[in-house]
Amino acid sequence: MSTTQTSTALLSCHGLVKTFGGLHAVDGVDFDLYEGEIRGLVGPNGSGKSTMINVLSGHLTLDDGQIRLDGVATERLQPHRIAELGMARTYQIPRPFGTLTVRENVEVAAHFGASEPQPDDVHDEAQRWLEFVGLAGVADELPDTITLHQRKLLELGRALATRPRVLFLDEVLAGLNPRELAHGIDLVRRIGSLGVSIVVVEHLMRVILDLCEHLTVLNFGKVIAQGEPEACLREDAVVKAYLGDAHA
Amino acid sequence: MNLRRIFPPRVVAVWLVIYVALLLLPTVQGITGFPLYNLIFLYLVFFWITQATSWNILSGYSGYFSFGQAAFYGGGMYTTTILGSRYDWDLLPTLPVAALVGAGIAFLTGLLVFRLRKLSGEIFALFTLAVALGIGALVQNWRVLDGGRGIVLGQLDYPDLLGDTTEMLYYLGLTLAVIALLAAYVVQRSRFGAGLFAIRDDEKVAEAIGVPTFRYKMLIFTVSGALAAASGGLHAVQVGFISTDVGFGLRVAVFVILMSVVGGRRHWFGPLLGAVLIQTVTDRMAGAGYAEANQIVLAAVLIAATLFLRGGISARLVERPLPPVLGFVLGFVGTFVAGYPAITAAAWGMAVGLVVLFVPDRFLPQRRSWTRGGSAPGGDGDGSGAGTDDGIEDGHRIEGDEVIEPSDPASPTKETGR
Ligand SMILES: Nc1ncnc2c1ncn2[C@@H]1O[C@H](COP(=O)(O)OP(=O)(O)O)[C@@H](O)[C@H]1O
Ligand SMILES: [Mg+2]
Repeated sequence: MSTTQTSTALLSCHGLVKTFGGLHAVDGVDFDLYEGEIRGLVGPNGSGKSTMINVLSGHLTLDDGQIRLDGVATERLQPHRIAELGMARTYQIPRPFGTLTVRENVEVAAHFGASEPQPDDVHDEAQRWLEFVGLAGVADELPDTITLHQRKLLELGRALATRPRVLFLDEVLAGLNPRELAHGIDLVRRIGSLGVSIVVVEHLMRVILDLCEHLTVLNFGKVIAQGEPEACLREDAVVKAYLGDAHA
Repeated sequence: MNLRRIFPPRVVAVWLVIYVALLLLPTVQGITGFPLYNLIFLYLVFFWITQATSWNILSGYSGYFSFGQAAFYGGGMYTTTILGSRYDWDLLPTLPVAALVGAGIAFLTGLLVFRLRKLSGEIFALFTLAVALGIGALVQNWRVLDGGRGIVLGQLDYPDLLGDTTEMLYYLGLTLAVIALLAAYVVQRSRFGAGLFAIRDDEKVAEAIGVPTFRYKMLIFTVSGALAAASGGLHAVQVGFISTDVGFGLRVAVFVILMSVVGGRRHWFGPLLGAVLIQTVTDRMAGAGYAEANQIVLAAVLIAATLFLRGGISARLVERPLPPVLGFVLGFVGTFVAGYPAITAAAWGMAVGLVVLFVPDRFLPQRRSWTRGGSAPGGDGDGSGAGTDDGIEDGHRIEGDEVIEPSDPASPTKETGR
């Protein structure tokens, strides 16, 4: 580990393996995330980033390895139990509840989510996060009538309303125009300053360099570099992976 | 969730007033001599409200489209019939036992479909149908239960307080309907209901934000089964001659789906509206001697509702309640004062109300919320949305093939049995 923190990790993973048929989508990944950290998780398309999120959130069952969230083993837990422990995620392609309004989408997340802390009032809690992500103005619209950018913000708002300790953002900033992107980066920073530990999956290097003190670089399901962003990006393996010559 | 938000005092007051007023109706009938037939008619309305609401809290709320209503309804019917006719039980204690039997059937079915195999929407619908038909076949062939000859249910004892059989059915039917509606209302406004709606839209995402999806599906399935079975048990008294065709035929499933889709599956009162409307139409068509045409009318209503009111009547009514309600009142009062019987007047009231509900907005620009509730996109590839729209189409097809008995679809053999 090249992280300088000495405290124990909030989220600690060892030897994670997930295969699809013969394909090793995640292949022996070790990964530690510390309290209050914003970590970049990068790698070429198909390198296993989304699969990592899927196994950590319990969407997919792990083939091998251990996951400890604040000391609790989560690899055999159902996804809703993992959410109760304070893990939340967004989806690369937004998946709002289609017949619920924007507000109701966030409210239902506030109803459930982490078991600690419980919101005093679900309606107020939802309103708070709608304002936080800037969707209060379209709160009573249905998800299919708002813009893609807004749907991505809804992913964020819904995840935040579950009161997470660890938040995975799967390309939540992809496909935004420069102004929306600046807003998104600012938003992630503000989430970080609330004390939430964040894993940012992103393609745009500028965003990663802007947001993260530490990077984890995946290629073919394996960690090929980890540490300071500039140092990571100079490593041979990373350069080759990004130039498409991954077999070297 | 605080109690005042689930039960605003004013809402509770309205519920109480309506319940008490309806409880007084048989007494008023005794004094004023308004036709006894109205009580029989209202019992059937209550029966269908209970059945449709029981279906809707499962299938409308969670999106798991069930064709197996008869498994619970018939289970309850046979429970009361067997306990009453063979073991001489009083009527009242058979009803909780029927509810338990229905809950048990639902619980076991739920374990099979939700735990052993995670079934997609269409397969779930087929599986529930298979459970109903399978239990029907078991009862049909197993002498201990029926054996294929049917069972005549004699007069069962019940407290004198409840009056004659018609009044007793009325009071108990009303009480069951109120219990079912209250359950639907509370669930819709609670955290539980929010979780079910999330399951309906995208079950995987629901689970990921912390909804205990398995527990919730099992719970709502069990409650739905208990309500349907208690109501089926009471209905055995009305039907009198119980056979597997009555208990486990397709009719109940077809009608609860029809009523819920027409009324609207998103709101607790959707099935209520659908049940009142369809029972009234069915009754008046039969009364006017157009029993055969009833099927065509119901098919037309269903087509209109699926094409123009995708959230059912209730979704539209919530948006602009006043004009249709006024239309209903005008139509009802107008025909009633003109000397028509109350049910006929109600039918005209509903016709006027429906026309008002349908027509004016169609000339206005499309409004977003028209489609709310009816068109759960759900089919996110994982089938968890349980294909609500497919369900409607399935409803069409089966409804079209069904021979629907006009005045009381639940008891097709009534005339032969009595
Ligand atoms: N559900 C799945 N079934 C089969 N293969 C999958 C599945 N999900 C992902 N994969 C494969 O696993 C690899 C990693 O995919 P993914 O985690 O989505 O990559 P990334 O998010 O880094 O672009 C890819 O080769 C992808 O095709
Ligand atoms: Mg991905």
